[in-house]
Amino acid sequence: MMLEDLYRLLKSGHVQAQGVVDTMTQPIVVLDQNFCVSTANNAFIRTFKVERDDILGENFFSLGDGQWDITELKNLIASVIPKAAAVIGFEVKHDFPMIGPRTFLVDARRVIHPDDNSTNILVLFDDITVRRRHDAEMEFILSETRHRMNNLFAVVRSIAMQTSIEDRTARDYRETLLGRLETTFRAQEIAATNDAADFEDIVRLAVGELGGDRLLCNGPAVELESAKVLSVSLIFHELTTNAAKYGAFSVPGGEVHVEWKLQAEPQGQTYLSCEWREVNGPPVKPPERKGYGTKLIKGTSAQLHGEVELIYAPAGLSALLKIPV
Amino acid sequence: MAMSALMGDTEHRGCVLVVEDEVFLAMELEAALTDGGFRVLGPAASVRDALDLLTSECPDAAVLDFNLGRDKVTPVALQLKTLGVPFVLASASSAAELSRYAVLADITNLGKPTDLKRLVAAVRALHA
Repeated sequence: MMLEDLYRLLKSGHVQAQGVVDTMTQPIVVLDQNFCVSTANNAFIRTFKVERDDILGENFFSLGDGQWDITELKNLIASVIPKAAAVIGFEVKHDFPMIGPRTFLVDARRVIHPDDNSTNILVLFDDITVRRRHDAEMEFILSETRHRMNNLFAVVRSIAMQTSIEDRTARDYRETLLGRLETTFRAQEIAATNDAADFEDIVRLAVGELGGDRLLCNGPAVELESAKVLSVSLIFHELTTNAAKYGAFSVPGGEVHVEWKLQAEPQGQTYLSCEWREVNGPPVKPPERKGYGTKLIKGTSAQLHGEVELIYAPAGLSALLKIPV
Repeated sequence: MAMSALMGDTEHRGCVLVVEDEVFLAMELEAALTDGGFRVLGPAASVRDALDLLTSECPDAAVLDFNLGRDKVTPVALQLKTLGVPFVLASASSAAELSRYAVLADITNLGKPTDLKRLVAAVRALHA
């Protein structure tokens, strides 16, 4: 081979190597055995916001006010590399003066020149700051989801346990359980997707298809904050279930009138005062024992800092509900 | 006679504060503790409600959920520590999350769903 050909070959090899290094999107720097910078690619210049002329020939650890003088990185390059040929994926977290806090995975490889046995160190940086942040966000979402699943399961279990099995058929138990579950899920869906919901919408939704033109609503528009949607839904769901079994919804022609108004109290608190009144239903007598439905209505009202009164008038049940809004 | 004896008995039952924002869970905890021989203060559904209740009465023990809507129960836990009231958690939150709050560091978390028998036993142990 002619000397000229060899030179051309070497030169094109060099150009190719240079091209590869410069095309890499990760920052790369080549240090000599005294840890002075002999090459830095464009990505390095860009990422660390440095001038090429300022860094070539300079000691890497004293660059830019010593921004690279990071103990763990120094140990890696100065002591590990001479022993091991390469270190892959060493994580460095550092707050850089120009670019702020970053997390890098550093690969370092010892390269020995075949002619003079001089040592170069090739250092490659992989900026995983964004990836780490995504990982953290993903972990947060997963843990939140797990938490909500557990919570949901606890609620389902609790409803199943508290729905009485005494004196009822399996079919009746299943319908009551599903009715409560569906009301809960629907209300949670509304609460999760809205900041507030219209009171009449909540009542109509809770009463469901039994209502239709047999549910007569009359009152001003009232916005309920989302935290109250579930409780209010449950109250009207339980009243509906009761009306379907024993009250106005158990006979053709029975109706439920729901009327409400806003009441300002002297202390500045506004209350929603609402009456559920069943008409044209069968004669009503007070129940012999307080069922879970009644307990749920009372418990839910108490949770809303409200009060509820159930009046078993012979002509039809009335429920007076008063809750702060 | 029997009536007053019964009321006297009620007075001497341990009082347990329950803080839980899910109405079904709150009612279930209340029922389990009542069956277990305790009197329930609350249930409180929010930090504010719980702190309000604590100004009116100092319970013997407390059962706390961790997440209350958008709030965490920690202000209630701090107030209970100040008052010297022992408490347990009944929360679906992970140990890692709870350990971020110093006031909850040594607190037993019975988890959620909560084994109610274990809960009553744990509250009894606190109260003893």
